[in-house]
Amino acid sequence: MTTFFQQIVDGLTTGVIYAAIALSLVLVYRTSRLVNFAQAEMATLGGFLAWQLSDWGVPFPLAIALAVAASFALGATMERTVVRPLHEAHNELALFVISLGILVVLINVEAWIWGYQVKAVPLVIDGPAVSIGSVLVSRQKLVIVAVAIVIAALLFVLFQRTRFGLAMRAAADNQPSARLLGLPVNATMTLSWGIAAAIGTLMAILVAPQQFLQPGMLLPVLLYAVAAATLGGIDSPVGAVIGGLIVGVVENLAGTYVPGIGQDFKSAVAFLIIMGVLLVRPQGLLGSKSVVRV
Amino acid sequence: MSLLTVDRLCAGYGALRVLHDVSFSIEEGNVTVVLGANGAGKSTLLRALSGMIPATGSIELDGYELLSGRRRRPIALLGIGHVPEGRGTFGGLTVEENLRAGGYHRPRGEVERSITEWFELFPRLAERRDRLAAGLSGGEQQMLAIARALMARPRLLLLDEPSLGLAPKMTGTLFDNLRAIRERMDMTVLLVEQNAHLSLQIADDALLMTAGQVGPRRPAIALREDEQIRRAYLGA
Ligand SMILES: Nc1ncnc2c1ncn2[C@@H]1O[C@H](COP(=O)(O)OP(=O)(O)OP(=O)(O)O)[C@@H](O)[C@H]1O
Ligand SMILES: [Mg+2]
Repeated sequence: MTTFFQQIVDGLTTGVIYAAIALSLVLVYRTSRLVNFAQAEMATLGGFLAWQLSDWGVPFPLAIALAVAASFALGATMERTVVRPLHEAHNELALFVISLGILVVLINVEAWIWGYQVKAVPLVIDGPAVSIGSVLVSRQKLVIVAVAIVIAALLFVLFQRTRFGLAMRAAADNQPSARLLGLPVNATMTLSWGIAAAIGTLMAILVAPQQFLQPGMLLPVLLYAVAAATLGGIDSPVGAVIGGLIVGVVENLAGTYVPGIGQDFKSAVAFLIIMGVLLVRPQGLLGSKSVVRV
Repeated sequence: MSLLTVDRLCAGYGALRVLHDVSFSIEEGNVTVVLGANGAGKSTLLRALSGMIPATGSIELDGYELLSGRRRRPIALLGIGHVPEGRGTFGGLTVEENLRAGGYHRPRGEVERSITEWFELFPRLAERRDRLAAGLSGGEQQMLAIARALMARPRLLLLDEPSLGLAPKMTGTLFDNLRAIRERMDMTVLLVEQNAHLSLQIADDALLMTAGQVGPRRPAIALREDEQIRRAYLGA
């Protein structure tokens, strides 16, 4: 029984990371109708920035703040420069190719500047694992969970309680109508990209000690995050969070309990389950139907 | 006095030119209906007026030229509301949120007052205020789209086929509502409508549109009597 609970908790703490990256994918998808495969690498770049600053002697918390701010600016700039013209031209294929291109360019740039040797990113909190009942969780993971909860809460307040958040949702829902009403559509798109990039970077920094900071660090996570976002509904922020947690838990339980599978095939099992769900509900658990209609 | 004066307006989609030198004006406070066959360019005309598609020529709203300057200001801020063909409500937002989005540029207190006001006029919307707009019937969505546009207190309201897809009874209710709105607000309306019978009853003026061109403005009452019009648009 202890193993079971331990697996659930491990799954949830991993799932939180998938959920956060899935959330950034969803924020971007809602504004630009693009599954941005470069999202995870932009996050990794943010991780490198934080490491570099801290290596130069900047106090780690300040380094984190600066890296997150720089990522926000980078995300926002990308939206303004390359993404928006293609989005306005409804050129989805070009957008997709550009996003793959950015992914490759970022990996090369990171490798060129920092090399492939793993960088040691400090933990934000150290000390022995905390035991909750019979379950053990590392302190860093608790911080990750706490940060993810704060991000989710802030986004909830932004979307549900502010005027600008209403404009963001309206613009994501029906852009022509939002423009007719004079909503600040362009600003909502730029801000969404900025927020998405900032969330990614924050998560990248927090998982770097465990994932080993090097170019392409979050690519495995990206795969799960795409699955999580699709499972939850690619246009639903709440869906992204739920999808991330489900993927994390399923992956962990499958690795432990499905006979003859073991650690090597656990990701395959997770994806099979997701495929099953999507066959029944193509729009994902909480996604809107119109998104899958073509 | 004319509120809107359009002069040699040309617009289209990419290489396809749909409007050819359209010129007309509409009177402040009046309801002007645009009649024309499918594909005549009625929706395109409204889209050009509200800046959804690029246009050349001149569109003057109360003396202010909309087509000058490199960047057009959002039409909502200039006092134009546009209820597009197909309604365009925010399906994933609640009825009330749709209205709030419509009042985005107005002070909070006024928005609250307006919401109460429109819920009084459209009780069906009031009952469904916390429901997602996607779950409303076609007629309810149309009411919502109109109420949402009115939240911005436009001086000029562009309505594109509000009765499209509605049952005759619902269309009747819709036009009753339009009349009620007219009495309540000092507003000018440019209405595109297939239902010539009803629209000529509420309209003051009418414009006939054929193949991307707009004919001279005529009193609606004259068109109701016109034998040719009756045959073409009223099925008589
Ligand atoms: N989005 C578009 N892209 C390209 N061409 C379009 C588009 N919308 C309309 N057209 C073309 O423009 C012309 C005029 O269309 P428009 O929709 O303005 O007609 P309409 O008078 O509103 O017709 P209806 O009564 O059927 O609504 C048509 O030939 C149509 O094919
Ligand atoms: Mg039309």
